[in-house]
Amino acid sequence: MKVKLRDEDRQAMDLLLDQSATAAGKAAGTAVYAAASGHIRERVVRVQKVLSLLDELPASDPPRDLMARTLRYVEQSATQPIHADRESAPPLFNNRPPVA
Amino acid sequence: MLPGTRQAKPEDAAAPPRYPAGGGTDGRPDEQLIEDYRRGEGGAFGQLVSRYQRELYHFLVRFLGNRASAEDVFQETFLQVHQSAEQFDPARRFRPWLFTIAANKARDLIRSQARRPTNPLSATISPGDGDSGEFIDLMKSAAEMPGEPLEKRELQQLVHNTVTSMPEHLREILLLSYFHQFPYKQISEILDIPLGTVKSRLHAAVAHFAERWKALNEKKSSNHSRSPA
Repeated sequence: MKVKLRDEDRQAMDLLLDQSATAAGKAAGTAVYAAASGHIRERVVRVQKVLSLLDELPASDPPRDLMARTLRYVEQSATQPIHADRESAPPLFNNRPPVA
Repeated sequence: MLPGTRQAKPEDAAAPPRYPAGGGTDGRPDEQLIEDYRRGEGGAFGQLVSRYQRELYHFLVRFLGNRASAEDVFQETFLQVHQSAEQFDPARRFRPWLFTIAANKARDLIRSQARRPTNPLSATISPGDGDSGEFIDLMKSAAEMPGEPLEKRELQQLVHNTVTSMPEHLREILLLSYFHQFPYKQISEILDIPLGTVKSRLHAAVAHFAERWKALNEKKSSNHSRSPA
């Protein structure tokens, strides 16, 4: 199928997705919808319905030990110290992981 | 309405960010942490890993399609952060820089593995088969698919298949924009493409997603109707 995008479709996507535009809308006290004229508003709603399907995309949280493994990996792989006085510098990483 | 879909409301546009800025008990901005790390405070690096582990991992899992690759690229990304810390410009934002590194690493992995089959729909939105349709019709049918409501897991699987069947450059930009809510300008920096290309590529990505969703849904419906009761 050959999909034709109209200007209204593009505007609706930009209104929903460009966060700088959204931020401006928030700052003005009203959402982006307020700025959209009637027919664009309808497109915005439809685009949002399609995009909301993406919320179903599974993304499991990282393994509990990923951070510790990453720090170990970096420490072991780092052949180039970033500080000239590395020997006198504190250890590369704290043993204690930061509290999330 | 499909399970998992929700009625769009005007207030949705003011929804909170999916991944709130900052994190942990350390209130220092990211840029301060990387600066402090450069000065020798090793713990600052751990703070950055902690702060971004969830968001970055989610991006990589969704982009690469599997956890093992996501973990590998996650580690490679922070190794690169360590190695390039001296080159980081503290006047710029850390988060787009981090995602630039991660996206580059992920793309490198995809290309090195060459594990994704060539998709006939990958070049453009349409395969140019002569058939045509308005995007609004596609959106309507994509979001309001008739028939039996999909089970939650089935819906997730279908969305997963739809996203993973997208060409990598469209999938990547859609994830950065929708889930990670980067402004177009920052996406332009992350992907090193002009702002106009960000827009056109993102428009193509949404259209492609809707098109693939509809195609997979129709295929699934067709399989269901052929299967014996």
